[in-house]
Amino acid sequence: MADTPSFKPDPHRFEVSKRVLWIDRFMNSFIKIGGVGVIAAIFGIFLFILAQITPLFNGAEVRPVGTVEFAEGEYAIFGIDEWGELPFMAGRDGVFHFTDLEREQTTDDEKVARRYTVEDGAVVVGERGQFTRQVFEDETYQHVKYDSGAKQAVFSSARGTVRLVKVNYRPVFDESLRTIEVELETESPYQLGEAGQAIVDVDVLEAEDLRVIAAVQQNGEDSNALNLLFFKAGTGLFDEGGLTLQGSVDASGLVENPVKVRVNGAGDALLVLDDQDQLHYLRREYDESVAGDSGGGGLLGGLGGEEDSDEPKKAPYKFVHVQTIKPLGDRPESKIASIDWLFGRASLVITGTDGEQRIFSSYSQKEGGLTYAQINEFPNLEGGADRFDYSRRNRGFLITHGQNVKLQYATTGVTRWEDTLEYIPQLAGIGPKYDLLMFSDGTGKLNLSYLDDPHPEAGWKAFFGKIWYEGQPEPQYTWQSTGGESSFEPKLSMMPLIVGSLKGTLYALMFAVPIAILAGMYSSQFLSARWAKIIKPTMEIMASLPSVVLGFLAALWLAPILETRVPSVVLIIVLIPTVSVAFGFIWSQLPKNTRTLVPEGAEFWALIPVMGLVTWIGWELGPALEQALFVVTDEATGKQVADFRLWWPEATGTPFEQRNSLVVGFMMGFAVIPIIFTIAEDAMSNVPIYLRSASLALGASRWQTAWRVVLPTAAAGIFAAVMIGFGRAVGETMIVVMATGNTPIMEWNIFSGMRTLAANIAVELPEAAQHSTLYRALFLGAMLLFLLTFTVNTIAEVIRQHLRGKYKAVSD
Amino acid sequence: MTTLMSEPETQETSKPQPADQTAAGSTEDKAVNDSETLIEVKDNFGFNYGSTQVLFDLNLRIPNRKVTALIGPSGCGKSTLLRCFNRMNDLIDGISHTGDITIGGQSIFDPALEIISLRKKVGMVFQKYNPFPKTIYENVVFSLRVSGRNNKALLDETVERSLRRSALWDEVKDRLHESALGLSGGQMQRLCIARAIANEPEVILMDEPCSALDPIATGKIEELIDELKTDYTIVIVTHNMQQATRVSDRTAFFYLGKLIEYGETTKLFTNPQEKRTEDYVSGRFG
Ligand SMILES: Nc1ncnc2c1ncn2[C@@H]1O[C@H](COP(=O)(O)OP(=O)(O)OP(=O)(O)O)[C@@H](O)[C@H]1O
Ligand SMILES: [Mg+2]
Repeated sequence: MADTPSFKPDPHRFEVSKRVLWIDRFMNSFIKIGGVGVIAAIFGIFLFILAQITPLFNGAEVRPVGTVEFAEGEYAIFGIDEWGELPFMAGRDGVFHFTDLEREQTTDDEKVARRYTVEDGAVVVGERGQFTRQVFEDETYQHVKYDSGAKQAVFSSARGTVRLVKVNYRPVFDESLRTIEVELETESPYQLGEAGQAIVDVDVLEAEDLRVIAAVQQNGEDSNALNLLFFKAGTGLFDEGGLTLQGSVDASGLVENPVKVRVNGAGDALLVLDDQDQLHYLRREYDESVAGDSGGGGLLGGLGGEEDSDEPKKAPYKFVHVQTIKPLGDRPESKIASIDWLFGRASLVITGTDGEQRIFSSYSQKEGGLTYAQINEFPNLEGGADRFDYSRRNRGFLITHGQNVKLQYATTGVTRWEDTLEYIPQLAGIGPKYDLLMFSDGTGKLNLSYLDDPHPEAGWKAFFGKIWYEGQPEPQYTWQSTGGESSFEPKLSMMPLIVGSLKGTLYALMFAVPIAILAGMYSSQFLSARWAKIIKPTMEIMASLPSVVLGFLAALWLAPILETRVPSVVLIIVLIPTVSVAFGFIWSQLPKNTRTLVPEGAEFWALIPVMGLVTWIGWELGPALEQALFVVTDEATGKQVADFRLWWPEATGTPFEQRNSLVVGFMMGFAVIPIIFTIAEDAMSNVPIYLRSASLALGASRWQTAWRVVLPTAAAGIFAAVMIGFGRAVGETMIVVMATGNTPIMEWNIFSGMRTLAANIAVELPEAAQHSTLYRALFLGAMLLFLLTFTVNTIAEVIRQHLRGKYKAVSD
Repeated sequence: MTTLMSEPETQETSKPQPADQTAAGSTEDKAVNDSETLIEVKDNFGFNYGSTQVLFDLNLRIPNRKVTALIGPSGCGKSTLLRCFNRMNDLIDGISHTGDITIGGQSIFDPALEIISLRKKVGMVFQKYNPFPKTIYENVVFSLRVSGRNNKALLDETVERSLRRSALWDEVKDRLHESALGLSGGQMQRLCIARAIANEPEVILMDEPCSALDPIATGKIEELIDELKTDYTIVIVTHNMQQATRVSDRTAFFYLGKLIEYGETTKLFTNPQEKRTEDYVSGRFG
């Protein structure tokens, strides 16, 4: 038995070891979890972005808080501090009633809802209770109005006097406990015009270094008078930055029968309404005749003026009539009911007695000077505005008619919120932080409501529609998220960014696609396998070149070179294909014996020196072409200069920038070429050899084979390559950020820059505070980018499947 | 051992053929005379893929308007020789040859010869049917289109003639503008034949044209070959002995890159002069 080394099969050979099974099960579930996890993560990111952008499209939320009971009385104005703790109501008698409201001392970012303590519908009154302050006695005023922006009450009298009362709120911190102190500050009343001329309407511009009081006054039988007082930041030694009276200006006579007057934010324009419902724009100009004796006085003059108040000084200004506007010209039935400034005093809300609500705004004309025009219109109210207040944070305003109240957003034309109250509000206001709404029936009941409207300037219209922003001559798609002044209005149109993304991508693809596909075709169809093996990995390495390097090259090297050599580039772009075709033609005319000296596929090497030569010639001939074609007259010197950079704007009316789409096209093209090349090359290499053989055996040339057989058969793959290139270019950030000026303009001009969605996110990121509108708008940009690539990829996939079906090769 | 032994014999059988008729007459086989010859492989034609030689010392004449079969065990170089006739081997890197091949008296290796015009003259049908992913119509007219002949009437006429010639017309005349990939295997192969004859070549090379087809489709192709030889010179590579006897007039037997025996088909199969030929045709090896 033992001597025959017989082969005995292993009795366990059919068994599967536990370990194999265990590993198999583990790997199965591991891969499953991994796969599902990845999908869940992507979906999660999508949902997160969605959650970030949905608030942009929500309206305002208003929740009533409760009532604050003031002493019974006739109140004409009310107001509140920025922290919402110390509201006041006041009448024409100059008695200000304050109520201290109990507030939870919360940190800033806590939810608004928990700020007031409310019991039985009444806001609980705080420690200091209710108190009054009186600023003047023995004076009677006919009207009082309160500018919630300047926190200034303006009392105006039948005598022609105006008294300004500033409500100065000041937070005082005592061991981290914050209380709001209030102080009423007033100056002696100012006399406008002549004593006894009753004030019909008054408007006060209160700015940092300027105050303008403008008043329409009764002038006996005659047409109303229009008088102004100018104050300017003190230049005197003892003024310490306060405002000093500069003098008066009498603007009567420019407008017949003025009834209302408004002073714009810069104090250089008056908008005067006459009794014919016409609005007149009067521009302030320097008046030299007055300047001679008062303006030149300087320090002494200023001091002297204060002493000697009997003789009112003249301010060195005069007004000229510039424009007559008929805000309701198309509605003869309706009369103008109100004119009020929006925040920034650049736009007016004009309402008509039939309920029209129109926004008028100024913009500078090309010829210079301002013009006022209607920039927006809201659906009619039941009637003219009874009460109005503007937001001090944005272009929102509160408007009431009867019991109806509406919170409107001027620029987008969107009603953020509306309601019908149970009473007719005699007073209506927006809290200083755009976080409160206040209504009162005028008898002492102040009703507070929380206003939760974090993104009033957002919405479909703002992101995707044309909007006429104030200061602009026409409705536009504008992206401008931050600006200098406090009254700046963010402009968040996505359109320039979408166009920018498409523009950059388009120019890049225009450059990259032909090169990459031809290169792929050459490498797969013409080049010997030996060379193809070297070239393909080399191109793939090119794809891994960091785009920041390309962007850097584009900005600091390519852009300055291209700037002066555009004619050369044009020449080269024209010459290279022409010469290639000519070369091919000449080559085919050569006798066969000569041609066979060069092995198949290598004749392209012969083309390289020709190409080099052509490029050089094009480069060198560029300036000559410029001399011949691109000549403009230099406006400054009147000389003829040959400069493409000057010629282009002249000829096309579009700007020429150094960092332009051409540069981006080139550099982003370089980033995209390797990707398109690799995939297209693969697609063409994978065209079955038997199809190529069939074509060649039928007497087709290599080019005919490539063009008629390989290209259509590989069309699906090549298309996919282009789409992946598109995706890469659309999402490309660094190159665009660096190689363009990042100006969000909306045009296809090749010699101007762009700002893409991706670059926008990179550029604006540092500005975007969490949960701010900009922050969410950037997420919206990200979402659009995602949707853009998603849509393009989906369309591409459908086309690809179709092509694949059409050009499917013979399969078993 | 066998290789060494076979060498002198090979030369004996193949070399005298072109030289004189009487020498071959001893085997009762009529050699191809000058006037009948269309393709001549001469000057001890040899062929290398890089440094490997796969064809050795070939000399043979292929007659005009006859079917010549190339047989031999796998890897003996039949396809290689066939692909020399239309220089399809040029697609491969590092090939070289010695000797010469002429078609109609003109050397196909002449540097002044356009390969494209050679290929127009020498059509080819491949082992695996390979229609283009285009319509039936476009497949047939492909060779005309690449020659720049786009006249509609001419194309229509060519399509009908070629498809009739390849016995496909009745089956596809209603679907000329549908994709060729919807045809059956046998139909596709006949389409490839139609495509090859559309430009009226002189020679049709067929490399195992039936190997991917079932017996019925094979039968149709064989009938077709019989038809076509009235107008074309056909060189066919086959592994199927019956097929060689059925369709060919002359047969060449190759072994390890050498021509062992070449003669009239009936002769070669019934009365082979060489032991290895006999072994092969009787199925003892290969
Ligand atoms: N492209 C190539 N590169 C290198 N050697 C090759 C190439 N093609 C064929 N050969 C070799 O040349 C020899 C002849 O091949 P060929 O294809 O001509 O044989 P065949 O007789 O047609 O065989 P089969 O009957 O299997 O088709 C074989 O040894 C093969 O390995
Ligand atoms: Mg073969």
